[in-house]
Amino acid sequence: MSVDIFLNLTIRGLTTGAVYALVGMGIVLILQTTNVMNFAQGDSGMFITYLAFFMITTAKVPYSLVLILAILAGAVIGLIVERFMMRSVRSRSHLSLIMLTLGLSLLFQGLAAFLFKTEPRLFPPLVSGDPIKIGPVVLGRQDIVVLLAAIVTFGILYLFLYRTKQGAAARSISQDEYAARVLGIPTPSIYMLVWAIGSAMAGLAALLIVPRFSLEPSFMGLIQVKAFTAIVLGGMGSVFGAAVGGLIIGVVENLVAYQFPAIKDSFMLIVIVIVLLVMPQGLFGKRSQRRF
Amino acid sequence: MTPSRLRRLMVNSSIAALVLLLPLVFRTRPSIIGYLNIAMLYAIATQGLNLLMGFGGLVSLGHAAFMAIGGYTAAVLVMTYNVNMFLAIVAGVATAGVFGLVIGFPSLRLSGFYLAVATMALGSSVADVIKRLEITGGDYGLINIPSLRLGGWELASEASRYYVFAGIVVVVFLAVRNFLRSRSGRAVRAVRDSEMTAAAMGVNVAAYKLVTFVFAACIAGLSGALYAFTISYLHPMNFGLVFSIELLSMSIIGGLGTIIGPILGAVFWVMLPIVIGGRMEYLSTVIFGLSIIGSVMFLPKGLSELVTRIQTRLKL
Amino acid sequence: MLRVDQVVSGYGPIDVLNHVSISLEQGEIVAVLGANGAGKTTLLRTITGLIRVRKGSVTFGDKVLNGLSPAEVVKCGISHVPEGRHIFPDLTVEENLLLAAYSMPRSQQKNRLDALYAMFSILAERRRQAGGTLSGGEQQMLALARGLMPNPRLMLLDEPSLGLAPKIIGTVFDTLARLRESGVSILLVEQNAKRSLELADRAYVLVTGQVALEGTARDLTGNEMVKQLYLGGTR
Ligand SMILES: Nc1ncnc2c1ncn2[C@@H]1O[C@H](COP(=O)(O)OP(=O)(O)OP(=O)(O)O)[C@@H](O)[C@H]1O
Ligand SMILES: [Mg+2]
Repeated sequence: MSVDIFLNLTIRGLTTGAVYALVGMGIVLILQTTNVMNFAQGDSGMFITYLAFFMITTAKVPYSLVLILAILAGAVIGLIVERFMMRSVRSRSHLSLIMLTLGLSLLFQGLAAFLFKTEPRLFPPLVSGDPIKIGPVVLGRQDIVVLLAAIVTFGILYLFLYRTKQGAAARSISQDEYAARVLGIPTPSIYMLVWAIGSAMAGLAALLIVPRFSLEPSFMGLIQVKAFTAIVLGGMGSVFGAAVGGLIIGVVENLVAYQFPAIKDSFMLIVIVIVLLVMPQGLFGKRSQRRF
Repeated sequence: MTPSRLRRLMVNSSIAALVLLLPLVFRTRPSIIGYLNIAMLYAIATQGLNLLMGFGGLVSLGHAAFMAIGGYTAAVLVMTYNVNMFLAIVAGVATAGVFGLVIGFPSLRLSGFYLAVATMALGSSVADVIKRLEITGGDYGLINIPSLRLGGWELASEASRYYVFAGIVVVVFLAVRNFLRSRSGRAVRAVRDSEMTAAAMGVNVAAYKLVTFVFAACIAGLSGALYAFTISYLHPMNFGLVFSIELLSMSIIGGLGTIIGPILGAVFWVMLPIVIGGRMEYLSTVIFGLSIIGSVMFLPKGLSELVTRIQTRLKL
Repeated sequence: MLRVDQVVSGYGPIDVLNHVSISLEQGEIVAVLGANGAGKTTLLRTITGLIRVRKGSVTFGDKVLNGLSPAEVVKCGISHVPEGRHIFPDLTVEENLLLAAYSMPRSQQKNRLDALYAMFSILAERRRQAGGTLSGGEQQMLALARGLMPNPRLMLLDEPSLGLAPKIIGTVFDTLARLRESGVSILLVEQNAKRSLELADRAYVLVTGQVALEGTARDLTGNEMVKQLYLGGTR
């Protein structure tokens, strides 16, 4: 493998990894604070993307406005899910909560397929135009947008978690939910806020990455699996871990796919099982943080 | 015999009679019986998952892999090596059991969400490996798998398979029920309720987790082997994460941790799209999603709970 | 000021408190004694709204607290220092403190921080350190400071001496005495009956969810049953 190819594979792997990171960060945010593993993260994003598709193609709403509306739609979905589903079952087992989000994911898939049909549709990219050359590296414009979006999202999340009192409250809940309630932190509103932010990220992520695939009810499935593996690699503990885990998986996967195409799909999955078994705290997690 | 027992006996025997008579009722529409056959195969696999999750408390998002392993092993043995079909099915079950042991190992160290991710990864990679092997037909899948034949008797018609499958469902369900009532079964449930307590009581937690995994895998392997010889076509893509989640959905809707849940869930899962009809195909997915949500929120034992409620309402 | 009247509450199907009535006047320190499992923690949780009042009423001043959320109860001027301290291990000391005054305006938070740092100099030194790295005694100080952070009129303290070395227990009780001077009322749940009766004005003895005895601290110190049950040993 020449250096040029290596560089190209790595940088492109980063852009794929950014996708996993975007989805993974939302999942971790919700997981850490509310203790719910949201298996519907990908599919709520998928559903929002359908709504965005019709806004763009049928209603001719400008792209930038659609982006904002998609983020808002995600937030609203998160609020509804928290308020009307999760709140009443919060004390149930992890298994029940996982099942609930699986049901939700099925609901989104069913709604999308039922309302919008299943044939794949081409989603216009946010930015079009020739790929950009930076030295030996060639990058699509949309890829750059995705990478930037992941960085900006990470920055915003960081500011939220470490510079706002709501963020501090969210972190405190993830460490000791009982203590947070004892101190008078309004935990129900923090849960709603976190679900809103997490789901808004789902909408944003799906919308940014759909141009790479085609829009169909199942397009987020594999991405979500990769996002989960990213979380595991990152140690499930932090948004930072999910982001780095996502990038690593994107790069490694790209390199492996080039060198050993036969094992490209299984490779990461096997890695994840090994990670789980030999270092369940992942790269950045702490042992004390295991809550499952 | 008390009146209520008499009444229960009457209801049970009329249900049994109805089940036996169905092929005659739908004589002119064998496809309905065909769907029920598939539902029964799903119910068998789901019973394994139910044992694992409902009774053992072990999450699995890779259960379809066991079906794939059972199905492919049996089909390849018959097609490539001319093995007797019955022995091939037994071999399929055994191979699935061995994989159950392998995939069960993570369960010794992992729980909850971690186990979910591990089984999801392992399950998906089984499908992926099958796709890369030559002997399994790779990405083309296996086609023209011979149809089920036991002894000299070829089960060519849907109705004949129906009776055989119904018998197998009963046998498997009774086996699971008896297992759960045995000492080992109680140990399995003790492990689910609290590993620490179980260990303190002297239960070998690791051994029972593995036993549960192997048993569940064998049942799924049986389902997969029968499935292969029923629909005569196998493709790795049909045994990925999506199908694992479907099996999980069936067990949730039917009622995790109940013996009759799997059959209720599987029949609901297979028949609802048929009832709704092709034009509104995906409406059933919507309903499935809502059913799962509804089960978790309001009916933790799913359809079985509904059945129990009707029973008490009718004072059966 | 605080009036718990014929309160019934509990977990799931079980009632833990059976018609418990206690009261506390402004400026008082009232101790609640009782064996393990008597329902002392449950009483505090019921007052703060962590668990629901099933029968009876809880009033604070002229405000009825029944049905309020913990967040609302804190706003009424009651803070709760939980059993076992419950410091957020990965948050800094300062974050731990700020979260205890969640709904307070920023400028006021700043004043409270300054006041508490003046009172607990060790916390001022450790303000940037993660809560989990403090020693047990320091964590208890942090827990007390967290309880004071919202500037409460009444503090509910659940076993503040639990698991501390005797010398540090002394510091804790000295701090409580200082708090009395500053006008904070305290409802003190303790296993350490001797020390708490020395500190308190009045006390209640809780036995299996009911008030078995009540009186001034001096009366109870002389009471045979209390002597036998709680003051007999070296505790
Ligand atoms: N979260 C809970 N869920 C169910 N039951 C509980 C819970 N917390 C306490 N209990 C039960 O309520 C009863 C009273 O417990 P509580 O914690 O109020 O006792 P306590 O007087 O504070 O005891 P200790 O001195 O050990 O702290 C006990 O029987 C306990 O088992
Ligand atoms: Mg207590």
